[in-house]
Amino acid sequence: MSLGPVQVLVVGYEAPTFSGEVLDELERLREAGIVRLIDVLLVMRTADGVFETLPVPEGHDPGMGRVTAALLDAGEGVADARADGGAADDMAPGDVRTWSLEEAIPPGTTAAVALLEHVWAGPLRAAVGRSGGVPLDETWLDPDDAQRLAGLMQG
Amino acid sequence: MRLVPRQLKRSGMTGSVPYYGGRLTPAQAYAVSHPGQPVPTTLYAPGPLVGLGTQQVAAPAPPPAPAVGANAPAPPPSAGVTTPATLPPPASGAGLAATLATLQGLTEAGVLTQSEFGAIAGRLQA
Repeated sequence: MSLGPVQVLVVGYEAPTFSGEVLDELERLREAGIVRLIDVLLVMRTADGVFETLPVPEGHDPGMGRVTAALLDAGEGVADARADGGAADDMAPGDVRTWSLEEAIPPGTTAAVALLEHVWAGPLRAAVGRSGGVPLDETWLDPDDAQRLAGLMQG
Repeated sequence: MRLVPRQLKRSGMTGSVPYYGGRLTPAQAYAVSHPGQPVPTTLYAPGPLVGLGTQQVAAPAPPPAPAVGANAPAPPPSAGVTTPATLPPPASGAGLAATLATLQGLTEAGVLTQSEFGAIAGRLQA
């Protein structure tokens, strides 16, 4: 099974209330063949830093969040190793370009963690590879810079 | 259900974007936030520094640096810091010398690895 680039989108909420508006928009993008919502996990980080998954809201697939949790969870064994001062997880020491939910979600926050497949980008990525291109950087423009860009496009 | 966040590799939409330019590696970030302290060797990246055309080697943890900055004198060689074998002799010019002294200071402080120092110095003198 081949996937296009998969983005992890972490959105924080002050309270665990999810209106469904975001999911509706993602559904629209999926129908357009642009983005596919693979899964979304609702998670709460307690004030003392512990992560707990939240139950699936009524009206949604009961299995929602299962794949994301399996992907992002290192398991209780790692927690024990960390408590004992051992390795963080199964990543080799020196793997510098890493991330985890610990960096993204502050204590006392509820968040939705969505896995989004950018279907449109799959052929682009393949074309870059076939042409011998090497990714050097990619980022998103800051809203201020995007606004400046909009002005440049109009001028 | 309790969830213990796993460390995952970062990637970009078009592939694995390397460290380059103004980004800080964990070793560099540690050195900045812990001035004067040796950087744990486990924080050094094992792979090549893409884009500089160099092969990164395992760098030893540098010793504490007494001073960092453009005016910091280059300290004598010690057990933890060695001059890169590939580093050509410094070219003449006060500006270049000052830049190299600054780079040396950053290397002593652990902000740059020896291989990064060698690569940058080599480009300056090319």
